[in-house]
Amino acid sequence: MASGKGGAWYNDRRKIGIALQILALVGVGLFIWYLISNASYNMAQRRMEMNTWFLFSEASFKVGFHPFWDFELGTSKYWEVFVIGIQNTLLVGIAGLIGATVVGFAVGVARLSDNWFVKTFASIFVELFRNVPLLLQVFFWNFVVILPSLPSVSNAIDIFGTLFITNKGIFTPIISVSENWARLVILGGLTLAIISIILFRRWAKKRFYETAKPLPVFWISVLIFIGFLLLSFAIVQSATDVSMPQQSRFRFTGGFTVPVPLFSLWIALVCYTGAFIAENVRAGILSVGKGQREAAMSLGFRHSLSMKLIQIPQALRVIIPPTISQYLNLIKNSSLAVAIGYDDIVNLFMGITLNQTGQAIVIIAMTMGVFTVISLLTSLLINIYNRSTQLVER
Amino acid sequence: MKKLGILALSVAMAVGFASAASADTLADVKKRGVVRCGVDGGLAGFSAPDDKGKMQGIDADVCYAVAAAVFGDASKVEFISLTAKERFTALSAGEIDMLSRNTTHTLRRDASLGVDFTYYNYIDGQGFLVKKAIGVKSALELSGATICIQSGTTTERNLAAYFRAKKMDYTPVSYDTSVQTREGFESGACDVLTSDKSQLAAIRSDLKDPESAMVLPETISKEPLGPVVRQGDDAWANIVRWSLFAMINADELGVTSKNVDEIAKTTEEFQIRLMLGLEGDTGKSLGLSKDWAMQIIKQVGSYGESYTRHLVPLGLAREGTLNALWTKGGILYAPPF
Repeated sequence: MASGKGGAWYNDRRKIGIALQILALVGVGLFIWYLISNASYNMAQRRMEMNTWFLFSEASFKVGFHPFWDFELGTSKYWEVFVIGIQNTLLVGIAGLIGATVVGFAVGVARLSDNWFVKTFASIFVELFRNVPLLLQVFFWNFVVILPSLPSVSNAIDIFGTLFITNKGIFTPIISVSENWARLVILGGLTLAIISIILFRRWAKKRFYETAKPLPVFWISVLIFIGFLLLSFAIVQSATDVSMPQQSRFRFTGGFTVPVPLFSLWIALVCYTGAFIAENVRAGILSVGKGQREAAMSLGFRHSLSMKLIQIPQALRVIIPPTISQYLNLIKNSSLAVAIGYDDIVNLFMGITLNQTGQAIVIIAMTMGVFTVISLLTSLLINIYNRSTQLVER
Repeated sequence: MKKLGILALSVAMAVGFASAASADTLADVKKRGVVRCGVDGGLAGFSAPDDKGKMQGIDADVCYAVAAAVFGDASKVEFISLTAKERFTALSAGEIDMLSRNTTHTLRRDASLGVDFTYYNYIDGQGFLVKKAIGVKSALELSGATICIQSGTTTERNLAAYFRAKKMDYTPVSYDTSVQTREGFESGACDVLTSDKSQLAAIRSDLKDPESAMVLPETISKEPLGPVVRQGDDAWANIVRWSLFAMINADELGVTSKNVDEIAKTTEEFQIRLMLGLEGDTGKSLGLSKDWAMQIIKQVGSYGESYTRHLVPLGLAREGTLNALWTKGGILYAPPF
């Protein structure tokens, strides 16, 4: 028996706890060390080199869809393919999040409707899209529904000579801004618009609490946004150029092209994730006590107003946390792009670039890093919003 | 004493490893009783099971030929289906004795993968499949087209290099598998599909209406395909190489599985007599029986028979292509016995 005050160290729970944690840490460290040394040994055996130089060499293939970044075959580098891949993943991800949220709320509320048709339609929507594997849905939308129903370039659906819908893509006019100062002016205009909208909403809320007179806040916000946009384009008019789609032999050139797979993938992600979010919304609304709605009704609130002001704000506390997981799932599921030929990061970087350069470990680690960062940022932003909806305890 | 024992053991192990690396594949194969042959297993014309489950195709025929040469029995083959990514690892790890899986011979593969390319049983090249409706007769008219690609190791690179050299533009749509690429082409996501020409023929034959599409005459890359063996066992490499040479020589000399018995009785031609083992003993130096080539021709047939059996039904005519014999305008040429 040790003669110390607390007896032997192994009788001290706290010290044992620390010792176990150190052991666990050492164990994890050893395991990681083993993985690294094993990989480097095997790579040395096969005379494979791991490096990142390939990122600065010319990409030997062409990228089809690069909306925000110029790609020139022969001069663009592999790191630019990486950037384009991230942009394309973000594009379908953000558009998907917005669409899935709108669809999720609409269907979730519709499932609680008193109208039998609306209610049944919403139930069928949820059960159908929630229970069929997503890859199958992506195939279905792209190869069975959308592509076969679109016309070829020579028979394009022509909307006022400006918008052309074909199976090679949807071709729209685009305002291209050539000078950097002009780009800054537009960026500044958009920032001002967003700040003005936030200030206006604060003022409108204050006014509503003081006078009980509501304003059409949404439409006024839209007007403010459009106003600032038009103003900034008017300022930089000399530096802009409107590019219209022109028909050529095989497709339209000029303008902007929305690829069909982007559209198919977006619809598939919106329907699939929307069905899950709808169930979260339904659960959230049902979690708000019946008394709340009845109290609102007895005060003379209309159904829509009661939903908007009384039930939804309380339901959000229940809706948001599980919906974050759905958002993260949507972003990860966007990698199914590879099956229908959309140029997301998995297709461009982990597929073609990996095939061309053979740098498997570097490329897979970078791609995993991208998804981790996007997912962490998404959940961080929504968690901040979530905090503002939670009960404030006094 | 104990230390010495460990030393002896490690020396023995080192020797064991060294001998494993330059193993006598022929002895292993004879002991096992079958040739383990790595194939695609799903590519019509090259290696795909028929409705009875028997592997068929020109790649599979090379495996049968090696078995016929070694055992005198073409059926002693165990087929192992491999993906493009798995194939070289399976070969260098010793899981298979030979790889006969439409594999392109390139410098990088030759020099860095520890494998040896023997010879070519199909000279392929990347080409274009187009819808007849777009009215294109040559790849030079394809500027501005939307092109479906099955992501491969060299497909995108060849396509980009070709279009750059011809100062033409294109829009790529890259798919993961051959089935998705065909779906994209068929449902109108693109008007042009690019892949190796033999694959284009297989894809075309799988279209709902094969007559709606055609393969353009241009070939934009060199893809010599042939059987591959592990580096370091030259004796085995010779057996695989000469099994294929025997099929090609039989084609050139006009010997087929149908007429070989007849010819063996009557022929006075020296090359044929050497090949069939009626004169000299070509098998001895290879470590095979005297009639090894005769068995190949009897049981598998000549290269021409194999081609007619598997590739002609896909619409891949042989006349006028590189795969014709050198005597008929092609480049297929086997050394003499």
